[in-house]
Amino acid sequence: MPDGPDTEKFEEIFKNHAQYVWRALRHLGVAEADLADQSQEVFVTIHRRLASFEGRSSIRSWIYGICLRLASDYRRRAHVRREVPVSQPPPPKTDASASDAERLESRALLQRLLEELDGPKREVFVLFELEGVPMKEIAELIGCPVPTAYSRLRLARETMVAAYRKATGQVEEGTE
Amino acid sequence: MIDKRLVDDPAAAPDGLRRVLDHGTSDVASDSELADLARGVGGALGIPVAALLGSSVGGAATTGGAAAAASKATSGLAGAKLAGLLAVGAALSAGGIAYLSSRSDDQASSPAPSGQPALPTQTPVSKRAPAVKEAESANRAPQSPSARALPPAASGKAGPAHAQPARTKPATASRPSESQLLNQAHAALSKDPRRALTLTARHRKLYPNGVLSQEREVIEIDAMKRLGQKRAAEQRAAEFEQDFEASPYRRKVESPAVKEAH
Repeated sequence: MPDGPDTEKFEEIFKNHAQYVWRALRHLGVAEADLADQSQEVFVTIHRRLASFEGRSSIRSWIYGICLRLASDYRRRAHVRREVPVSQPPPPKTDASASDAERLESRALLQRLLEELDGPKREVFVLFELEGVPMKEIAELIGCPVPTAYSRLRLARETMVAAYRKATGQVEEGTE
Repeated sequence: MIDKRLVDDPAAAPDGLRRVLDHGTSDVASDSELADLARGVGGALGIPVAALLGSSVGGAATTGGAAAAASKATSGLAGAKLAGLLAVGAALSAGGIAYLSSRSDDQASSPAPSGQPALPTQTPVSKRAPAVKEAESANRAPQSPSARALPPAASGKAGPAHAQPARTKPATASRPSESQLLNQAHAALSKDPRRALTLTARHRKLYPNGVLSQEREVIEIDAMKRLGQKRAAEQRAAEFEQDFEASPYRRKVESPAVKEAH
């Protein structure tokens, strides 16, 4: 159905949101090797459910909702398989420049830090801190009261700061 | 009440952590990763890859080493894992490449002008170029996809060896994107396969290691079949299978299919 009624809209969605989906899934715990499959699953789901999108939230929030559910299922399956989804290093890039190398190192560190968060805190932290979704929308997406979402964010921040200091050997740095 | 993100609030976290988060906010998939994703999604849903990518893929950045490394499906992130493989096979009915856009371009089906400026004749590395005229005896030595040559001009009417500014609708003033070129090439396939080869030649010139190299190969093989270059097409198909072991297009180009198709 290359030219169905929703196809053009779907194509636009892919163009506009593929990067966000890719990044959100990575931060939500999908392993590097599974990112393509899981991203594909998100877009197949978007395609299937697009007709039922009512526009009550932004399309991006709606897509994040799909990402959250798929990533949550993924993490659960990974747990059952006793696999650690995000601990492997990013694939080596032999032609990586110095700044690429820094980015890859930074990406790996971020993944390690995020692994310190449990699922609910990780979801709030990723959506707010990395994707810039407003807290009210986050609370709606994950189905909890806004104060609960804030509480998770606060705890997630504390965990991330502590994990960062531990990972970098810092006892005191920056401010709190 | 928290009202700022950590990246915007120096007082809330160590600078190093804020830098890590800042990198995280701008972390993006590479062009090759996006192309692999588009192949999977396009294959699963029967939507043209180039239509999904639009002009977002195919700029200068895609010609770099990372793209070259990823042009082999076996090394691509998703190459071996595309869940839509079967759907791709089904979508690729004989004679059509379902997911290179069928929407078309105004110039795609127009005849190739003689002396098409974008069409180089041949380069020293030419071994796998789809030989438009003497295909039967051509092309034995295997080469890497990136070393393949530009196809010779249709009807032997070659243009100058250096690409001129695109006469096709450009993505920018100076050069069309990978997606645009291959959309046009695909649209030209049925009516004017020589024109399709002209356009793939231009794609090869501009994007020798582009992220849509697989799509270019598939179009060229299809065009060669349509031009009756059976043996050359079979040879290219075999080489494609070798070069892109995990490609979702293998079912399209595999030699038996080539033999049956025309």
